[in-house]
Formats: sequence, structure tokens, C-alpha cells
Amino acid sequence: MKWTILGVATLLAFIASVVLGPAAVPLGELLHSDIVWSLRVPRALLAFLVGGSLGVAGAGLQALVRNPLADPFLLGLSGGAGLGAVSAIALHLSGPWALPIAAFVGALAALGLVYRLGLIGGAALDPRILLLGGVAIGAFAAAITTAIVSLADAAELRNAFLWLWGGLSGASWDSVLLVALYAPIPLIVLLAASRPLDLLALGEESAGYLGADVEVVKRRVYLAASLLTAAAVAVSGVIGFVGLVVPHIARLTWGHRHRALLPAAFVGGGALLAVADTLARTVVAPRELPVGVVTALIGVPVFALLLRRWTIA
Amino acid sequence: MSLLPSFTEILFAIGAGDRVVGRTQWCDYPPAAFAVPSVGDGMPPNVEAVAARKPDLVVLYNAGPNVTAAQQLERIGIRAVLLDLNRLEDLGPATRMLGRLTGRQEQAESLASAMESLLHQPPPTSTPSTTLAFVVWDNPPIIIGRGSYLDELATRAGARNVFSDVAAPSAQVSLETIVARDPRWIAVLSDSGTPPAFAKRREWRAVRAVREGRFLLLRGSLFGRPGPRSGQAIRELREKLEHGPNR
Repeated sequence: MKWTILGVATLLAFIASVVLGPAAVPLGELLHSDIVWSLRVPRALLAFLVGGSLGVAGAGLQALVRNPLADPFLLGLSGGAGLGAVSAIALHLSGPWALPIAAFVGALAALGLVYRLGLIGGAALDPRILLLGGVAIGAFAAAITTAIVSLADAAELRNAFLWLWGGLSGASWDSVLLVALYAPIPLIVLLAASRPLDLLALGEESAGYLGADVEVVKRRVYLAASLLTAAAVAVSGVIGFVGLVVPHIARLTWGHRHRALLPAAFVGGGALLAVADTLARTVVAPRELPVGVVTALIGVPVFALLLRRWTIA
Repeated sequence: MSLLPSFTEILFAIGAGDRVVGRTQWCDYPPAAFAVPSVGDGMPPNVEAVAARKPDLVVLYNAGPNVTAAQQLERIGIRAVLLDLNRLEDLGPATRMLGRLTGRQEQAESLASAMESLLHQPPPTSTPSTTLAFVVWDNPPIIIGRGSYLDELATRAGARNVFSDVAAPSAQVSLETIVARDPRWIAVLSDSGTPPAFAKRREWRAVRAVREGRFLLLRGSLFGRPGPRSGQAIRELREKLEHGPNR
């Protein structure tokens, strides 16, 4: 039943995001319209893929660090991506893909540093240090970014922030294809870790007794979730709340078993971002809202509602 | 001391250029302005750097961060004047004010009335071949709407901004809106003279003007600010629209 509702909701979200838009496309011409085929369909698909990736990354990280506040962007990746984007503009790197590639590289650099910090106490990856390291590296990257923006004299530098919060405006078949080829690998790694993630919730020691190779699982989950997030930031900038709220909603509805939780977080995150982006494009048309505003405006009330039902029940 | 490129241009145009002791890093016209030391980014100004040049008067653009800076300057005994300069209509009053402040009333009056005559000439009527969209940034797409200087410039040059219904100086829009409104030209402020990088992005090729390479590349230092050369900017834009952008 839950799956049927989610499936129908996702289908409706996808149809809505293809049919609705600021430009009037008559229903009869939907299938022949250039606007629909080269802009709306890839944008809806990208929203679904990015939303789903963030949902799964968030669910994995929350289980890994055993902290309900964990968000994929908390681990320093948005700071690294921002630094990458600003550096690309300051160094006058040109080309249609300069910014996404630079942001991806920046996010990977932050990922590497945070990972190295997480191993600082020895061979074991310490989730608490991962969190602290993520926040610290993020703040450090943001400080360097701000220094570059205020010292360099390219007028476009401030636009790097626009880009970083730009949402899905850059969607095209190219970016859809890129994510569709890239995302399955980390997604499968996370899905394969479902059972050990369930055990990890009991505590690292108990998980070890129950047969989980805790160290390997922690590393895999951290790297896979971060790689998903780095790709998301490269194609759609920082989109908040999906990775934080969707895993909680999925957990409240599907329970704590990651076998069901992760797929639900993927589909739910995808549907939420598709709906949010449709609203962002249409409610103030011809203008557009930043999609992160809408994800927060939808995500938080839904979350509060579920939380209430959950605590009363 | 002038803390806006437009003010610097006006001060030099009314013959007060030899008394300018400081400018912003963006003040690049007239060439003589380069001889004046820069005090950095003008918005908000570095108050200490400004005070160190010991100016009798500082003129600032009237906007948020500058208001505080002006108060700080007044507190340490430096006269600071905030002036509006957002549209062509502001040019006359701003020029007269700068004339009064520098004792160059006559020159200011003749420059101000020359610039105001621009406003009284009826603009050429726009045609379907002179529609345009100003794209300031590509991801997310940010365009120029009504009430901005560039929108006014376009109207005066006989062009029609397809986003003149958007009641904000600049706004984020969806790419499909640009496709649907199908402007003849995509206008960008660019000093490089080459089409913007987004021209090669797949999603932007849905816009006909991008696909067909119809870009109006406008030099930022001439088109990006209202000033004594606004008339020249209008004429150049008109010329590009009539004879193709490569003229």
C-alpha cells in the first residue's frame, strides 16, 4: 500500500513537471514541443535523480554518524564545491562545463580532506570526527572563497554563489546522461550495505559481534554517500533539506530497515525534488524561485505532520 | 573623491577631473581617471582608505552599505553626499548636484541638459527584429526587467526588452520562458568580444537566438552604467540592431 501511494505520487509528480511550466504549451502539442523535450523532460529527470541521490546519501550518512541532523551537505562538500566554482571564475577557466567540473573537483578535495581527518585517530573511521571535520573543512573552504571574492576583481565572482544555489536551471540531456551513468555505482554500494547499516544502528561494537565488518562498511558508506552528493552539487548546486528531511520521512513510514528505507528515500527524494522544482518554476512565473526555498517550504511541514502522527501513535 | 564609475565620468566631463583624489577600482573612464589612485571596491568603501586621502568631499551611490559608510565619514568630519543614479532620469539631477558641489554649475548645466535631451527625443519604434533579452547570468538564468537602466537604454535605442513586464531590475527566470518569448537577440555585457560560454551548453541551444548565434556583446564600461556616454551607448546599440552586431 505504502509503495503504491509512493509510486502513484511519483508518477503524478513527473507528469506535473512535464505538463506544467511558465511557458504555455497546449496539451495537444506536448509531445512535439521543443520546450518539453529539450528543457522540461531532462529537468524533471535530473530533479528525480538528484533528489533521489540526496535522499539516499542522507539516509546512509545519518545511519553512519548516528546523528539525525546529518545532511549530505554538512560534511564540507558545499564549501568545497563553492571554492571550486569561485576558483574557476577567478582563474578565468572558460568553457560550458568549467563551473560544474571545478565544483566537482572542489567537492572531491573537501571529501578527501574530511576523510583523512576522520582517520586521524588511527585506522578506524571515527563518525564524530567526520562530522566535526566536515563542518571545519566546510567553514575553512567558505573562508577562502569569501577571501577570493573580496580580493579578486572579476565582477562575475559574486555570480559563483548564484551558480552554487542555482538549482536545476542547468538541466539538459547531457547532465541527465552524466548522472544516470555515474549515480548507480554509489547507489548500489549503499544498497548493498543495507544489512550492515541496520546493525550499525545498534552501535559499532554490537554490529561487530553480529558479523558486520564495521570499518569497511563505514568507509564504503561515507565514500559512496559523498560521491553521490558531489555529483549532485556539480549538476544542480546545493539543494538543502532533501537529504535531511526525506530520510526521516522514509524512516517514519518504512521503519529502520535499510533494505526498504533506502529505496523509499530514493523515490521519495526524487518525487519531492520534482514537485519542488515544478512549483519553483511556476508559482511566480515568469520569475523563478530558488528550488531550495521550495524544498524547505514543503519538506518541513510534511516532516512536522509525520512527527506529530508518529509521536501520538 | 568619487565612489561610483558614473560619478567619476561626470566629474571629468564637467571639468572637475583634476580635483578628484580617489576613485574605485571599477572607474575606467575617461583614461585620465587611471592617474587617480584607487581606493578599492566602492561598495561598501574602505572608510579608512578613503579618509587617508583626506578628501573635502566624498560622493557615494545611494544604497544600503554606503549609507553607513557615509555616516562614518561625516562623523570624522568628511563631507559625504549620497546620490541616486539608477536610471537616465537621475543623470540630470546628479550632474547638477555634482556641479554645485564642485563649483562647476555652468558646465554641469550644459551636460545635464544635453543628457536630458536624450529623454525628450521620441525613441524609434521597436520591430520584431529588434526584440532582445538581457542575460546577466546563465545558471540560474538572470535577466534584466523593467525599471532598470539597461531596459531604458534598449527602449531608447528602439529595441523591446521581452522581459519588460518583469517589475524588477533583474530577476531569475526559467529557461523555457526565454525560449517561449523568443527574443531576436540575446544581449550580454561582455568585454571579451566572444560569445558567452553558455552558448555552447545543450539546454541553452533551445533558445533560437542562441542556436542561431545572435548575440549583442555590449562593453560593460560603456553600457553597464548611466553617465555622460549614455547617448553614445544608445546610438551604438541602435547601430548594432540595424546593421548587425559586428559593426
